Amino acid sequence: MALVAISTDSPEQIRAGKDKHAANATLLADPDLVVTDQFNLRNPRNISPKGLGGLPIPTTILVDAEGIVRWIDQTDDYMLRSEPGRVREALEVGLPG
Amino acid sequence: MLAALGLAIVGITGFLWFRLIQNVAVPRNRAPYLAAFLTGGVLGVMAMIEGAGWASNIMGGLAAVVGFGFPALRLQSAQQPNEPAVQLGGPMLDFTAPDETGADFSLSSLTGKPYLLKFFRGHW
Repeated sequence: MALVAISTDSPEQIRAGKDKHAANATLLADPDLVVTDQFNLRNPRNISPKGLGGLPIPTTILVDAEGIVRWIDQTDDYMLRSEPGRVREALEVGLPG
Repeated sequence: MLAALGLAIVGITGFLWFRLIQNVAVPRNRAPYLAAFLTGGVLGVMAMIEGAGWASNIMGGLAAVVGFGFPALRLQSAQQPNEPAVQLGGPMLDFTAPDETGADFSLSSLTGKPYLLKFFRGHW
């Protein structure tokens, strides 16, 4: 299962912050929230060093081999994120067999 | 006395809370934690009103700040999810973004195999 993780980190920040847990993931940079806005995932109430509305709502999207969206997880609370159990459950439901 | 108790309550609750966060095990029902924080905060305020000395006032103040501050942050963290631009059962959007080396990566390069795309808040 390929994993792509995108955040507002710049490529330099990604390199600096990358650890062994992310070794198999493709890490992408979206510092100007271009992709975040394309997916309409900006959190307008969020306050960050980038100012108001400078971060995405943590969201996980599962896409099948045909490019169809099979699962979207948006926590209603940024403290929860996509806990490993929920992701595993979604993989079993979204990609049967 | 009240102040020390209030500070101990918020201290222990805070310690337990952050340990849960580190294990990505934040419970969905946070009411007991919020109640504990608020109790500590109230005790802190009571201690300051009692005015039993500067040490008590400092501890009471700390307890009040943490005890009321944390629930206030908690209220702010419950966010309204936007309607994402993709829908269940619908096609995924393609995009190109730089990877950690600065090279462009296109999501369409993954066509033909399933993948997870995760938007997260980075390391700020």
